[in-house]
Amino acid sequence: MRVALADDAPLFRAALAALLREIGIEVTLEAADEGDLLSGIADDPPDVVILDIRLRSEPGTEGLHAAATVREQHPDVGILLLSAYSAAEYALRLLEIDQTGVGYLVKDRVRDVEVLHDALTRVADGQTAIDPEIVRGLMGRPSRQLSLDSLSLQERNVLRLMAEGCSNNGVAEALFLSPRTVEKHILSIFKKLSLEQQEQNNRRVLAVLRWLQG
Amino acid sequence: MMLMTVTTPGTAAFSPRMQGKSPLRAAALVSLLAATTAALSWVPMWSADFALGSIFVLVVTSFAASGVFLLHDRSTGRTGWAMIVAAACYEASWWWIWPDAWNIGPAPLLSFLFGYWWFAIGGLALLRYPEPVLGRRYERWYFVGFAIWIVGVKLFIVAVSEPQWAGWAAGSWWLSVAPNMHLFRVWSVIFKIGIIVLALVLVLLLVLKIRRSRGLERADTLPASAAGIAIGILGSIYITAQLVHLPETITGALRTVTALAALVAPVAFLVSLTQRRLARSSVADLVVRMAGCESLRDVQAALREVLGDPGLVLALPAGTASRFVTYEGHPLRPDEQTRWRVAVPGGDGRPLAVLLVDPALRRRSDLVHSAAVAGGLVLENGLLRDDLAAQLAQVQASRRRIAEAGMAERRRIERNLHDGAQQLLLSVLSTLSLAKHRAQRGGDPIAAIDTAGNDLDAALDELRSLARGIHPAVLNEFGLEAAISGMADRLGIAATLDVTPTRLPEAIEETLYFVICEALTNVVRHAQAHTTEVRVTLDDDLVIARITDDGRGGARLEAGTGLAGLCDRVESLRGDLAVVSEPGRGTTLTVRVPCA
Repeated sequence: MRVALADDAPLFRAALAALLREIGIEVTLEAADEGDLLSGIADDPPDVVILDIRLRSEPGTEGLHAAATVREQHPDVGILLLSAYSAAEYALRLLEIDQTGVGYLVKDRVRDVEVLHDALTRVADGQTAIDPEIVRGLMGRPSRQLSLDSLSLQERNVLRLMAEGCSNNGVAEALFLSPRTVEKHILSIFKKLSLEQQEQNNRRVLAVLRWLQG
Repeated sequence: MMLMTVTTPGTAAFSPRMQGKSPLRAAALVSLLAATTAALSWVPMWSADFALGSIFVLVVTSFAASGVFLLHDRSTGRTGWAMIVAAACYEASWWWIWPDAWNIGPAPLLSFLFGYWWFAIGGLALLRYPEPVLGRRYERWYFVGFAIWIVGVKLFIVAVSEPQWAGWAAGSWWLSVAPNMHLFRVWSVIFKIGIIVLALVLVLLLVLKIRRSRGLERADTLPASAAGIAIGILGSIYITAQLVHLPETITGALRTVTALAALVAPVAFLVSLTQRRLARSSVADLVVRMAGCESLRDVQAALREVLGDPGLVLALPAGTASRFVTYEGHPLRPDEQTRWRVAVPGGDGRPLAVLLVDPALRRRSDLVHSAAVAGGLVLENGLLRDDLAAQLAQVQASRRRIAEAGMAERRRIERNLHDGAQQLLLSVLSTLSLAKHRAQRGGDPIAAIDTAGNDLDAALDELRSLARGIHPAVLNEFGLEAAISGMADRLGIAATLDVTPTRLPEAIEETLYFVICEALTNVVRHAQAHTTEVRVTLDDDLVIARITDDGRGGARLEAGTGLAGLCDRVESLRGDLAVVSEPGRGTTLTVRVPCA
């Protein structure tokens, strides 16, 4: 897999690049801002770009802006936003740009190479990857507890994995269930939560997250 | 009997419902009664001592008359009663001059028992004037002691004596229990010594009262207290003269002088009553005077003068209704916070400002409110209204700048944390993750662990310098000198320090620390200086911090620079900040903060 990096903190950028190379990922570019990134990938688009949500030293959402531009110019390149903030709102804004081949991870996830690698793979595949911490936070919101209590434990696990962006097969593998059982659970969840059933997995992520957000 | 004839008319004429009317008729009536009874009392002596008799009549009459006037003034009513009772007691105290034939009924006993009461009651009135009660606990104890002495000891003396021993007609009404000439003589002397001591203590109490009074209150108190001091001193000299049996010519003269001194008390009361009237009328002058005021400063000065309160503050609302700042825009000091707040009403009834007045002036609330209204009239007038509006705008702008500076500071800290320590720690996390992965695959993780260690060191450094920038712990614990020395060590250029080791108020230490930090940072960054000098001195109640360098100069105190932000902080402490920085001649930054 080939990855381009954009982060304005040079030490972190270098550390992340070293880690990615260590796990066999080719880092094609290390950029400090949106401009460097766009010019760097213009002729040689990678499979995925990893973007810091805060690209200049100002607080804000320049990372989201860069994500939208990359998607516009290179629709096939996956986008993984790395952020110091574990805030659902940023993840939802990213999903509103596009719902395929995007991911939002909290930067702390670099401590777990498997999660990082898995997210990159899914994003490169055109799937979605949302940080488990964000999903956990949303599922803990008191305003949603009553509805969530009506779900069985297994259904809640399925819901959580759906929100993180797993496909039906992904959920089935993670929970050691058959894909048919997963489908049954999903139908039941949508019914219990009065959620509109979405045909495509990717659209489903945004719907579930929006519902959880309340 | 005669005692009753003096007090009764006063009681009848001065029931509270009479208080609103002119006191002149009642005063004339009471004076006439008092003068008549006093003149009758002196009948046996008129031919022998006309002068003393005249003084005696004058004292009785003026005590009674001043009592009537004091009664008329609502706030001094109780003092009025005291003066009327004192007039009756004073009159009774002279009945010893009567021939034996007049010693009828309880008159001798009443005179003997109540003679000294004029002094006690008059002293009480003088000491508490113009308040209706005694202010201090020790003053109350003093009068309890006084009452016990003049009642208890006198009753004891009566019990061990015959009336003729005390100079009255044998067979007069008396409360003899076990007459004993020796006991009578000894206790008569002890009683008089006690009176001398009590008189001198009264003098001391009055002096203390004058010393602790201030402004208008002092003007009010001074005449009455001075009269009390005179009576106390002269009276004790007179009694001493009696005790040591000085020749009759001398005791007689002293007696006359003491009686004359007693005359001062009612005069003093009338003087201060008149003064109060005058002060009230001076509010009218105030309006005239303030019409010429050209600034809020003039208004405050005029109010201070009229109310005799040099600490009076003209304060303006700062944004919210309950917060005030001085008209110059400074926050209130704690001692000003506790002052009495009197609204200065504007034409529409809404307060334009507040006066922070000495709480002692609550007693003169009529005067203070009149002054506040007069002040309001002047503030409403065109010129000052603009001034007021401009001041308010300035005050609010300054407060906004301080609030904005606070927010900018918090944003700066967040950014520093995010860009600095947080990124470094995330790098450590990433590098450790790499080391783990490498180790799991049989590789050598040492290099990665070293990198992580170095990044951790850097993160710690970041955090330390950030914490110092927020609030250096050493400043709290060891003061400005230690904090600045620590900072200067890391500066990289030679710095001479001369910082007062005296601990200053926290807010001043903190502000000076940040001013000096900012100044030294500028010296290092912009001044191209070789040496710098920091001097913080405490001169009386003024802290002066001076930071000089030998750099290229040309620094300016402009909006948007770090120093301009500090300017607001210095001004919020009522200080000022000045920069002298001619090109090529170095820069001197001076901060002066009052440290009361």
